[in-house]
Amino acid sequence: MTASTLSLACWAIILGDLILLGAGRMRHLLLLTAAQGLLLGLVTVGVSPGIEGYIVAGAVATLKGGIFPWLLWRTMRQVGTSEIVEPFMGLGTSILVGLGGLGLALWIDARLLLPIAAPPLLMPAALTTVLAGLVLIVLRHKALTQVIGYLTMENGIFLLGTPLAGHDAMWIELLILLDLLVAVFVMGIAIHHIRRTFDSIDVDRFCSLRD
Amino acid sequence: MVWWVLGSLTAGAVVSAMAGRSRLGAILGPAVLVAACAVGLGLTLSNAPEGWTIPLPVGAGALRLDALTRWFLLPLFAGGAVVGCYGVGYLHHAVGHRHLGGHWGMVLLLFLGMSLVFLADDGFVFLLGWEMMSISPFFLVAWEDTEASVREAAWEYLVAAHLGGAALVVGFALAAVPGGWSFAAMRTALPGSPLATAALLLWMLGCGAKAGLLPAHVWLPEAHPAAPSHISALMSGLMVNTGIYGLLRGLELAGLPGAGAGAALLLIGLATALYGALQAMVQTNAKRILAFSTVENMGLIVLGIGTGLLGLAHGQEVTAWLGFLAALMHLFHHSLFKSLLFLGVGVVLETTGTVHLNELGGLAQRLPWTSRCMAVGVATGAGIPPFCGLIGEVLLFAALATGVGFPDATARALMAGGFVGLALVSGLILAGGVRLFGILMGGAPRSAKAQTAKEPSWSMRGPAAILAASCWLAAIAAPLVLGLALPAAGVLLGTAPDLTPVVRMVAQIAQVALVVTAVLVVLFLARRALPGHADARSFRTWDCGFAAPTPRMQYTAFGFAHPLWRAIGRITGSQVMVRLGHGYFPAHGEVVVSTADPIRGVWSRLFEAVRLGCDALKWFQHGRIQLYVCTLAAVLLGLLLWQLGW
Amino acid sequence: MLVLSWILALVLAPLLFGIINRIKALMAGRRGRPLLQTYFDLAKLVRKGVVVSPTTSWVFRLGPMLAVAGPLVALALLPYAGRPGLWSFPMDFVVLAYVLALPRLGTMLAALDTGSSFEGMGASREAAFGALAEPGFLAALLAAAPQSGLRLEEIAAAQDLFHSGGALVCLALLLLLLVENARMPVDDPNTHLELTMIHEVMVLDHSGPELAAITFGAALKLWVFAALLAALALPLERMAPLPAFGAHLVGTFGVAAVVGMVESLTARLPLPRVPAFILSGTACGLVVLLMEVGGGR
Repeated sequence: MTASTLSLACWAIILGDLILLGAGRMRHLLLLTAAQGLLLGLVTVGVSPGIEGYIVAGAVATLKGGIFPWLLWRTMRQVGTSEIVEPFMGLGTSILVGLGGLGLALWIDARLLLPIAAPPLLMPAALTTVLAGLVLIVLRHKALTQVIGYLTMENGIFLLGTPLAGHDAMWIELLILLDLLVAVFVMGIAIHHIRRTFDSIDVDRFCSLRD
Repeated sequence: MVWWVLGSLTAGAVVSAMAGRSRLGAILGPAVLVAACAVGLGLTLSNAPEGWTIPLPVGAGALRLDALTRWFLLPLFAGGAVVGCYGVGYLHHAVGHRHLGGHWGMVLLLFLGMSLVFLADDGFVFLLGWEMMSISPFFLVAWEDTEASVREAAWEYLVAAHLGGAALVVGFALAAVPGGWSFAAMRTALPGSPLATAALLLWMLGCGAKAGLLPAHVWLPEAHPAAPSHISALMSGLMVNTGIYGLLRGLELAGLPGAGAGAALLLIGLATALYGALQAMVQTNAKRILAFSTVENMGLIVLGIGTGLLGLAHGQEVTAWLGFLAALMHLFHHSLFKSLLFLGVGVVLETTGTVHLNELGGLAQRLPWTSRCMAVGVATGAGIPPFCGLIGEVLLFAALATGVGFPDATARALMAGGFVGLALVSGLILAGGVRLFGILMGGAPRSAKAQTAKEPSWSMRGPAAILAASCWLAAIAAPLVLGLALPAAGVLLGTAPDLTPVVRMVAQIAQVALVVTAVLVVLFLARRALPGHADARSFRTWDCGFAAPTPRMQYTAFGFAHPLWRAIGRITGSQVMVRLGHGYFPAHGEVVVSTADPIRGVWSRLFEAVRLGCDALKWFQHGRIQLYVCTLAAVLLGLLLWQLGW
Repeated sequence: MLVLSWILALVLAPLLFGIINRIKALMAGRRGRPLLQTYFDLAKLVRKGVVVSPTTSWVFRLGPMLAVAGPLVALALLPYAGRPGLWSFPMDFVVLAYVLALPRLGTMLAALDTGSSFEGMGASREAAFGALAEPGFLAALLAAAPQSGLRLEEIAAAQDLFHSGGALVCLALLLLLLVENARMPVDDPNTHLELTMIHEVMVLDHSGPELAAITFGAALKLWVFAALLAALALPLERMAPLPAFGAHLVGTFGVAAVVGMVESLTARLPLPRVPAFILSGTACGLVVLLMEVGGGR
């Protein structure tokens, strides 16, 4: 794994974040999430070589690049929600916010002193992914989009963690992945039930659940 | 020569004001103005001695003519002469029954004030000129004093001018503390003193209000359009320059500040430019559009100054020079094309009686001369070759682009943001310019007023034509103009680094302008050789199968702006309300567009708070003379006791 | 060589439309109209008479001239085959953008001059999309510029398709090419409904040599964009003069082929979605710019 491949993967993650923010179809969102999961696996191999690295990378790629998107896709089909992503304030605003997030990420990266040398562009890519996930949660109507947002955020946090974690941390990462698997299951089932009860998965209506 | 200029302006103002309604009053003022401007132009371009003193009641005042002053005097006198000629034609119907002598007296006073501001070499003369310049436009704006809106605009102007003036007075008082009132003393004593920052901030406030920078721009789109058109041209084309001059002079006196001030000016300039361009895009009154365009251009100039300061703070001399040169060049070009556009709109107002775009149209046919001049003005404003607006904008782009290579990351980000923002502004200006010209001049007349429009007398057509020609000449002769701007920037920046690439770049752009002109001429001649030039058949506009088009079906001013408004324009506070009739065959429907400036609302709330505060003090204004005298005496006594060292 | 490149541009520009149409036809399984159809149209139009509306004025007659003049002068600014054009000075890419605004100005003013509601509509859309595309175009070229120079020639030399930044810049320029030249998915040059047009609806009233001028101007403008994109995308400056010349030419036609494929594969966007499309093109350039600003050149 050369440095240039790693930086290309980081480029791809950043661009993927921006496209994620500009995507207008649920199907594209899920595909992008899957692609991001696979890229995450690639980056893991690049950052922590050795057999543990391959194990974590394999798990990450399988779960984030395959199982989660498939689960969400299944939920989407079962719930029968429409294909169209429903943004607040237009998709253009989301892209602009994403660009601002990239700027912020670069700014933070220039000022943040990491204890160890991370490959260049990894930190900006990670921070941009976290912010993109945040935007997906804040600026979208559907609960399903928000699950994708949570996943994206988690991807970013995972990226942040990869260079920091030592080799012993492999088990921790795998456990987190397992937790996440459960979380996605729970959220999928919850959305399914909400849909059955309320006939809508628009999060704006969730406020009627507050009591 | 300087005495000839100032003396003739002073004497002319007095005599003209006394001439009153007579024929003399209508002629004397403009004659003196043109003569004084001609002499002033000679003075500006000659190698006249640099310093003079004028005896004032409070001691000698000093005048000085350095390169920066020359740069600002150039458009003042050139524009003044042209606008003076135009005013004669514009006001000809008022001869005999309006107090024209007083009007022209005030114009002369305005010019006297502006000349003094530019020439001043001490704080006192500067403030004297500033006050003359601030008061006289009140009377000029209030020319149509029978209209309530005009009276209101004039009052608003007066309040804004005085608040700005107050900031300047305090600023100069602070600046005078270390060394004294003369500029020479300030130059040596002020830089580095703790008062310099405070003085500079106050100057920025006062000058920013005069130039119409955000958020102190609110008076400008009210006052400039309310004045008679030649006065609008004076105010929007020439008077706003004093704000920029004051800012530059203040920077020179207090020592050029660091990166923080540069960044602040860059951001203020960019915000002003974007806001002005967006407002100019949605407004529907032609004169208000031009006023907002002035706001936007002042923003561009301040953007240049901010870029220059930022470049200086980071030790990048070429960027600093590019920024200041861009500001100076754009200021000159703006004077040319903004005066031109106001003169053109003045013709429209004079012949049709309205400047509302939705009542106009079809004027390119009826006003061939004026419409051609207006087209030049619009193209210049949008930086379209072969006109001079391009030069200033490319210099500004160049300053920002060189900044993207700075070692400091924050500066890089500011510069890149400025570059992209400037690109958006330039795109918006083109859209706004097309909208102004296309709706105003193109198509069929939207009302009976526009139907009967006719070209006015030569005294009104000529000045516009001269300015239009200057817009082209200033592009072709751009290297010469740049040669004048270089020493002006040198007053601020000292000795220049190697600027040959910049000079060569400007020369090349001038070549591009020349070639665009040549290509157009060749195409024009070639067109005559092809069929259909003179023998074109005439048939009504194709309207897609609908056989009965009416002028009312044309795109309206807001309709044209609607796609942009929907994409990025809501920030301007404009709103559209569509009321449709009911039923299967609705007979009546209407679209109401309101174009309010949201920043005005903030100010009016602030002023309301001040008014309430003042109301609370009214208990003291009881009207009993005995108590007033008593209070006066008590205060005096108290002061005396305090002085004697209680 | 320089003069030859201009002559080729003037002669071959209308062929770009032919290539785009041929690609579209092939993708749709049709034979398509002749490659040289635009030339036939131009030859026919030049010989035809002119019908002018009585509503119009000198502005209407000036529009077509501006439509040709802008791209003609732009050709002289364009680097060719890895070498500088007639003019090459710092910031010439900004001047290029302004020169390319001439045809837009001309067609919009002429459209408004006819007083037709449909043509006003076209001008209004063109004004909005043109204004929104301007920052994208300039930001992409600034992002592509190396530290050492701000000339088009140096920009073209510094970039090629095979670097992450270069690929993004090329993508940005391709998207903006589609916007500026009224292609799918922003505008449909083959549509038959005036309500949905942008460029075509603005020139409804032009006829004869004037319509020919506008068509030729549009072809030249497309050539300028395509040649610029090819110059950026290919490492021409590292080739010998003659192969570089050929590669540039092939690249220019290649861009036209790509446009043809895009047009075959995409549907026209609804108008309210176009600003977001322009923004996505702009975003491609801005990402590169941000990376440079954030990382230091």
